Amino acid sequence: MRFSRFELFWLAELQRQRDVSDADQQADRFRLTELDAKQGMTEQLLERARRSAERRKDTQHIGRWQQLRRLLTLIFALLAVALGIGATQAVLNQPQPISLLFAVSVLVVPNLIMLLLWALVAVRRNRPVGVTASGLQLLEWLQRSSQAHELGTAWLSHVQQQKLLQPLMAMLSNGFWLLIALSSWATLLLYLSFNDYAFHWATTILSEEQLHTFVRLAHYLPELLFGATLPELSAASAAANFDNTAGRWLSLTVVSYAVLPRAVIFSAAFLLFSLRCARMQLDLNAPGHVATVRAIEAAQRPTRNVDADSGREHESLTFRYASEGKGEVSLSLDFEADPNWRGDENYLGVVARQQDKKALLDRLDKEPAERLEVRIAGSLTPDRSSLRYLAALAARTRRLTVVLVKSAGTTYLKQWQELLEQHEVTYVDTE
Amino acid sequence: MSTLNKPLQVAVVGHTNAGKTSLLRTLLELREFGEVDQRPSTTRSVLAQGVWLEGEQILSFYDTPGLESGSELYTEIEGYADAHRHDGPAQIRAFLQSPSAETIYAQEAKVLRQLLQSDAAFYVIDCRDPVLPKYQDELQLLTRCGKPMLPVLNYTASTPNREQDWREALARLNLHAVVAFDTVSPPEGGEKYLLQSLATVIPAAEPVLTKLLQQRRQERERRFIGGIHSIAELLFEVASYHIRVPHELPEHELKQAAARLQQRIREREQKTVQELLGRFAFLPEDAVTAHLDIRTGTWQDDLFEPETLKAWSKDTGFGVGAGAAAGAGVDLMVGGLSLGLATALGAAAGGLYQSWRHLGEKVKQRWRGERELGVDAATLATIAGRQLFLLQQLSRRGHAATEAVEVAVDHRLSREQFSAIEKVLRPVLTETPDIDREKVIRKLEVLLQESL
Repeated sequence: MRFSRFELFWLAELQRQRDVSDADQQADRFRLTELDAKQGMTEQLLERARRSAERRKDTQHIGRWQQLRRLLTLIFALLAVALGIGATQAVLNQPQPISLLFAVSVLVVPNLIMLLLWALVAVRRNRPVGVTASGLQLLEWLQRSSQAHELGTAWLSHVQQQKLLQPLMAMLSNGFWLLIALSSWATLLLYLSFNDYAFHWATTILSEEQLHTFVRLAHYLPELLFGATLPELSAASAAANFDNTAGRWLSLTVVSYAVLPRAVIFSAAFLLFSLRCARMQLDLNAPGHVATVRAIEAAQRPTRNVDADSGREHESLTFRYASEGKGEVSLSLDFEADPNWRGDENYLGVVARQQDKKALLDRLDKEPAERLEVRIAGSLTPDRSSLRYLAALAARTRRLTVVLVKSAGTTYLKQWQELLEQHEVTYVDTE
Repeated sequence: MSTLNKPLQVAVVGHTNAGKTSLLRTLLELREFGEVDQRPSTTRSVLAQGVWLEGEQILSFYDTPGLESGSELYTEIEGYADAHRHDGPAQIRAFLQSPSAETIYAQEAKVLRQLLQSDAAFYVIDCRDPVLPKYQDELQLLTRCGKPMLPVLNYTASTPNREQDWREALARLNLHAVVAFDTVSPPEGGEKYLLQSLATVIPAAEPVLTKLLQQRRQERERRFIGGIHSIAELLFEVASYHIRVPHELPEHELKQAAARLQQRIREREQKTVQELLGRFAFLPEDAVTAHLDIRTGTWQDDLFEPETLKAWSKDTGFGVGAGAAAGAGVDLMVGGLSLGLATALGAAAGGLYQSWRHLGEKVKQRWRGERELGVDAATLATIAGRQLFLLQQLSRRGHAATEAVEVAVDHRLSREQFSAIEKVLRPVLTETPDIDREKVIRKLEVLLQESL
């Protein structure tokens, strides 16, 4: 099934809502590696939504949704046309001469009142009202399935996020009234063209002055837009072409106050809708999309192992001890963590530099020690070099003891203990 | 876009356990990058991870194994100094051809090989450590690769802190551009300083790094705003939770009903916790939330609750007006034959419809002898405070941190802080129909940001 861009964004919103409610299941259903990494992130999310929808058979529901939408639009349109024709019929079926004031009130005033109400109530609403709300409720009621409900919720959320709801509602509401106005105008034209009607200015409660003011006001737009001629208020029946002028004036008044305002608003709403449709963007920061975007990036931009551990280089250290030794030696390896430590006469101090380490090994080569005590700062991380050096020292003493010097903060005592135990080296912890 | 022909390659080197992988986790904002452990030699392979800007890869970071035999290797490479006098990279290359590069020094060889192929390196230092000769040997060795090196002092927020000692030692090696960057709790603007310092050692990379910094800043802002939005949605949804129970319900069943509501609230809160963690690219286990203590709820059984009446009167006015207007249209369309009946009926229908929408459910409830339990303000204040605390913590936290953020019960908003939020949530709490969800959430977002 081929989707419009609007539908793709709708599906993306549906998918986002599913991701929010059950991310794990959604992840299992679609492998992100199926997506084309060359595409932008929005396009990839749209593609994922499209494919997921196809797999879940959402496409059928969308097809049905769209079919029903078209059907409802047609029904609403027919209703509007019928209302428009009915209104004109109601006017023209009045006993002749027909009151022009009454005709204007029937054909124009309801439209203007509803336009005013729409401007007051619906124009800034970010939730469906009026015809849109009724249409949506009807759509859901006609389908009555969980998937249709999901689709309906996603549709609403999608049009709200993309700021499409207001122009859409404006199109629907004003389109409905535009059809009423157009059909009533067309009916009026048809009947006036082929029938003979008599008109007059008639009122019972308005004074002549009030009537005059109302008529002048009503005449303003038809005159401005079409240069319409006003049927004379005085001596109406005396003018030979009064009915002709009145018929023309009435039709132009309907165009000016009912058809044109609705057509202008409808066109503006349509333009705005199209513009916003063209500028639709996915909010990659929205819940649901955030996690998916991260997952896509992780799948398409994985960590690469560029120089793998072959396993050959793990050296196996062996601690072998000297068969004989004399005296005691103690030292601090690399660093003395206890600033107050002074040691005894056997203490060699801190052995840190490579040449010092080598010198000690040379000395012990010549005269192995009976007991060797190595102080190690627990705050220093164990490393291969230190262990290798301990192994070298072990070979030059009969008894090696490691003193793990505790210090404040993070320590590697546990790691040292594990390693020393692994090599069966005696150790003690300082308190 | 970039002035570089290929992605900038940056190796991250240093002694074992200095925090190289941690630095990359924080820089890449990838909590699962590599393996972090206090045992030495955790990273044994060279791992590469790219950084993308507008769909184009601009950087490659290389995580290398830790150096563990710097001093011995320094001595070994000194052996090549005569053959390749004053040519550090040639000495290193000669070593890499030797058998020991495949065996005893294989781990170090990986580091040096990668460094030779890179454009620059971050040398990560655990600045809790004293400046030991073996570290100095390592540094000497690395500088022989002839690549710009930027020392990064890690764990600066911990004690002991030997930052000054390290700066002096690095200065003696002519490394004056040093960056202090704690990978667990990165300093404000730390990333900016780090990447800007990288740009000073590789001037050609300056434009892309500047763009990257901009993108990162925008991402952080977006994440924060998204987090606020999630919390606002949470408050809206929790405020709308209600459970309907019969008036005459036995005590234990009443408790069960309340427990169901509480469980639902906890689950919804947990969902936001996970959403915030995901948004900031942390793992589910990176936050521990203390059990939310919901002691009380609020019974919503007042038919004439002021907020409900206020909304009812407003909407009923509109309903009467709209109904009357529609009716008037019908009256006019039938040429006045209906004698204004449609107007009157329309007004009545509009008013009744709105009244039913506002009060119908509550009237039905009364009729059936039911009442409703909803969430109370204190619980909402706790939820708001806890989530804001978590949001703040996550926005400051480095991806190297392994200890979970603890969200306690006492991270609640004060009565003063919450009063404005409660006012916005009032229509939701009282189930006013037709609430403009987006509008309420927008208002909540503003108030939540103000309470930070």
